[in-house]
Amino acid sequence: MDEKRTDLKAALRELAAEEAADIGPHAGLKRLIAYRQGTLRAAEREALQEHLSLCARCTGLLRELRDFEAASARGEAAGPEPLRQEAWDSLSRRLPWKMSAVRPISGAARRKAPRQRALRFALGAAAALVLALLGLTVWTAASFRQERRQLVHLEQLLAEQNVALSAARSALAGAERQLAAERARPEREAGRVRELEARVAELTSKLEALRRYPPETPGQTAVASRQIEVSVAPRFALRGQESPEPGFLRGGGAVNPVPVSTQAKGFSVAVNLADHPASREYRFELVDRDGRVLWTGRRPGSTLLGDAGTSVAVRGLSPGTYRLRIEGLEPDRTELVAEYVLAVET
Amino acid sequence: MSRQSEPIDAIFQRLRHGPGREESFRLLFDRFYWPLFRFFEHRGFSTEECQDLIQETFLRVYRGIAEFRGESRWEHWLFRIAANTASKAVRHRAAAKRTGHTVPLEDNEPADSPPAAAGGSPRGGEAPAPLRQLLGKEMKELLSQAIAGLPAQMRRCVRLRVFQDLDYDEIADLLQISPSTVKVQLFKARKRLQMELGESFAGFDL
Repeated sequence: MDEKRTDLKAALRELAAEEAADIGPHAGLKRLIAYRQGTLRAAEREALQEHLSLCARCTGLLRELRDFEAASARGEAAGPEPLRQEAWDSLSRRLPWKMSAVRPISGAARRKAPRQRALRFALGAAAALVLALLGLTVWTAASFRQERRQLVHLEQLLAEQNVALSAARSALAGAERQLAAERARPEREAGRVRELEARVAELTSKLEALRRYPPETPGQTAVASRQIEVSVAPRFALRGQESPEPGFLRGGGAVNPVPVSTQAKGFSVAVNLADHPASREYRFELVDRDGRVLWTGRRPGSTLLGDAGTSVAVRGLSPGTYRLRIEGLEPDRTELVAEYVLAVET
Repeated sequence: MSRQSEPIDAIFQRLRHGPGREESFRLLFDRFYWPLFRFFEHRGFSTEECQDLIQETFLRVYRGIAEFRGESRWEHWLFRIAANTASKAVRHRAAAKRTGHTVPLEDNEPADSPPAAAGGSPRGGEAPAPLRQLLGKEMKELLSQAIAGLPAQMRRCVRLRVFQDLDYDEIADLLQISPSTVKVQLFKARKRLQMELGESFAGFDL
């Protein structure tokens, strides 16, 4: 039965490819918009629906149009504000009204002293306003960067604390073993026992102190809440890889070396959420040492499940240390799912 | 009413005729920045490219706003400009590749191809035996005839489901019908295909 089903699926796939190759010209955006608005005549509508049933390209365009309409109607921000501000700053420099603002004053206007003064005053006020806005933008960007640095610093502290905790635990276990062995000896030395007891007490209090470190500051450290598998390679070949051992990233502040050939100048990240509960959507961010977001991308949650996972390609990076952040986007909140330190080497 | 929730028509009207063009243009930019970003990002452009393409789109909007005759909705007009901008960028990229100005950064297989090291799927490497090919061809013809013989709406539901792998809600949205209608149509289609194609179609989900 399974074999028959496989044959049937293969036949369907081939049939889809054959029929899609013979669908005639594409519908065109104008017709798709008319279809969406319900202004097509019945016969045109029927013909378009028939075309859509076979044409993945037109179906895709129609879905993009629908998503664009929905996103425009919602009007919600879907990323960091500095990105939008940056685009606006560049755009407004290219628009003609900026040119008129710096046009020299004509000779006739120069003769009219009162108007000139008024103009000077207006220009001065505008310049002051621009400076104030610029200051506000710089201040916002600086505090944004500072927050990022603080988060990175806290995570480093947390990673160091984990290492120190682990070392203290193993030292304490060793000292306790030595103490038990010394006590069990028939010819035990009282001095040696006291010395070991003092060592155990010292290590116990050190462990306690480490457990309280760093000082608790509520709401500053996001901790990965889901297990995800991320692998990095200069090739896409890891997509769908079943064996989790080689090439998989380590979290918790560990530095993951990412060798990149000088020709490739990039790498791809294969992400698979396995069977863990997924957010509707995930955002990926590549952040440099200064907290600047170099690249950001989004993937629907569904593409991160199952066997295949998804691939994210990153190119054009210079050698250095970067952080790959993965956030789950819920309608009411954004949750940090995981963060990895990548040391890109050529 | 806050400026963010102001109807888009009013913003466009002020942009065309009223005072405060810069402010209106900024409102328009703020309103459509993220939808456009998502659109370009979905088309596979990088963040930097998205930023450039958004600027290009708004420059075209600025230049073309006087000529807009109001035959379609503003957001559709803007979407058409964005889609044309994206297509133009893809053409430029392809042309640059052809003339050899850029060197491909990754010279391996595309994202969707199977791992080369693993040797692909077990079925992928095998050449189908002649008998298997014959059976496959026969099955394909039977299927093609059976699907073509379905009533129009049922046929479209089946094609979108099987050929394009869409879920019920997506099919409903595309064909502008309800998801329950899609479900019923696919249920009936499966029954009909089972009757026509017999056992080979049994247990195949739509």
